[in-house]
Amino acid sequence: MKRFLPIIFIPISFCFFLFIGCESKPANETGDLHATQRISIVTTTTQVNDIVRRLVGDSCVVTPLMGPGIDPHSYKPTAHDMTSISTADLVVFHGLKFEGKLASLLSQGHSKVTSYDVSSAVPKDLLIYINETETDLPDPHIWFSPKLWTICIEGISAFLSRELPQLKGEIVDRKKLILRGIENVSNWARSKIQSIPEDKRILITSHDAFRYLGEYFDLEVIALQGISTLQEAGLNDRTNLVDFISKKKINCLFIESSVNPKGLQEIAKETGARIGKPLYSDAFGTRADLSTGPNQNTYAHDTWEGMLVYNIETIVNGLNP
Amino acid sequence: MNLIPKFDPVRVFLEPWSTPELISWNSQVILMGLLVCWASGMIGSFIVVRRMALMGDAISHGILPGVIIAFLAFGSLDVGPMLLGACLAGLACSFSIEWLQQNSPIKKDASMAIVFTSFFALGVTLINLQTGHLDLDTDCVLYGEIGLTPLAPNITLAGNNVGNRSLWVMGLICLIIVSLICLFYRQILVTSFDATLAHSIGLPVKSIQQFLMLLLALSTVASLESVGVILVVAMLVFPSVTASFFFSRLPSILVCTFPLGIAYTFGGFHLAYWLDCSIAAAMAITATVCFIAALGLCPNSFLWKIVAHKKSPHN
Repeated sequence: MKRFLPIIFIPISFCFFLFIGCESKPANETGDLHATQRISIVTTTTQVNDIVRRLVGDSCVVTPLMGPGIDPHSYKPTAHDMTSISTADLVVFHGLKFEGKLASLLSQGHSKVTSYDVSSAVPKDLLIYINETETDLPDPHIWFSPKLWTICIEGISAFLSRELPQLKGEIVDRKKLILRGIENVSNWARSKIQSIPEDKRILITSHDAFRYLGEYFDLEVIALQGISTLQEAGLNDRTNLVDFISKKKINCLFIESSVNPKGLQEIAKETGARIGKPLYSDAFGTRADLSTGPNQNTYAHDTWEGMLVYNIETIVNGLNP
Repeated sequence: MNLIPKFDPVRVFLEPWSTPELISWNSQVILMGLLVCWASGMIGSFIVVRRMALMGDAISHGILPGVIIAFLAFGSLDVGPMLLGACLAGLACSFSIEWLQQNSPIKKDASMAIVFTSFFALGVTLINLQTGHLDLDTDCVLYGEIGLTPLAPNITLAGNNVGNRSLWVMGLICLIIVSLICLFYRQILVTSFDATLAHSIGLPVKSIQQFLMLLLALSTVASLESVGVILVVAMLVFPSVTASFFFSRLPSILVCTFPLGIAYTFGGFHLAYWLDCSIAAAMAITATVCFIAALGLCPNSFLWKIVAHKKSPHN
């Protein structure tokens, strides 16, 4: 026993030395970075990456953590993602716990990383709350509302102009261009939705991501699962949904590109409804996929406009008899 | 298809330590890895002896109702209430397992399975009862990721920044576990190996076992919060099992936890840089590789028997 004690305590004291060692590192990284190399910005989700990449152009290195088709709720950072975060000058993330634990850690305002919460620009009363009465948990899928996403883009561009004053002019110009594009596409989308008969405007999806889309474009939105992709549907929800589909004679259900389609496929089989093409919900698509939107322009699916054009076309084609 | 990236020693071993920011970040990750390996490995040695190696997995499922009740009580998804709920549920889970063993004829593995599945099922039911639209899952509100350790908030004591909260919590738990095991080594040893003997020499067997479970639950919940589930479950089992191939006495196995922890952490860290994967998973893989190596090279290994068999002439 007496020989045993020192063997145990040496590593422990070693570990406490390490503690002191790694905490006393000076944080003098802010001053010289802007002068020496290209500024590196890390973005989390595909939605945020799209906007940041287009706002700063080629003057910064923008590194996305999540690629197309990755579900942000269950994202696990790899070793190189970690390096990107630790060496980044700026981190732009979505917030509202959309990225799970990563968002909560970033939103605690860590001193070593300059981070910006995109959702922080949206006024609290414009958010949709999951449970209107007792909790303050907002639905994080805010990019589906062109109105809220415009507010977010204003916020991102204000943050970037403040952090990168040398690029301010370019950022503001690019922001105007992006906002014009968004307005264009959302007007087009609204007129497309009008072509669906009013009683057919019901969007049934696997998980509850489209409430903002429904609110903005006057669609009734019903989901099999809750907001989180990790939750399983209760038996009651399922029976209700099946009844609802048969009663309203809904002919098309929509699966999502980043969610397991199994639950909805079973319901489709049971009710005889079709399964539409997968919608983009929690992640955008790739640059190689294109859709033709307003004025015969083509839009890549890794941009907000491309995502909306594709989703609206899929919904309209599916719901129109 | 190029599944495994090319091995480039500079990229794998030097790049993570190339700039001051990276050194500061990665040393915190490494330190967290060491602390979790040591804390879980020490306590795991006794847990494995008691044939409860899957306790880590059991607790990680058992905390779900605690997290949800904490959310219902506090109405927020902040780490504080979540951790409190998880701790209470973890303790309740391990105490129930211990109680079932002591007061019923059920075997250990069955009692673990019964308790944690009941707790988990209770949690899932609570989610569905509460509301269908709640974004609540231990995976995204509680479980951490070892690579993100440096993002945890700093603690300030009397105006001075004393460093990372997760590291301090884990360091304290590691220190408590190691010192308590050193102090009460003999008592824990006897109760773990031979409860009847311990009882006959007048030791409070039940309290010592409950106390071990308390330590286990605390260290598991704290590790879950800072490094995620796979690492905790792996580190409870691997160090002591790997060491037991070479040593039969418990003190040697306990001491072996420290070098093994270092090997797992550094090995896993650099493996993760090579394969660009999650560090926790890479550490668990390193532990598996060490285990297989130990299995092959230990004094009584099947390998030596094969070699000896070939050498011996058949008459």
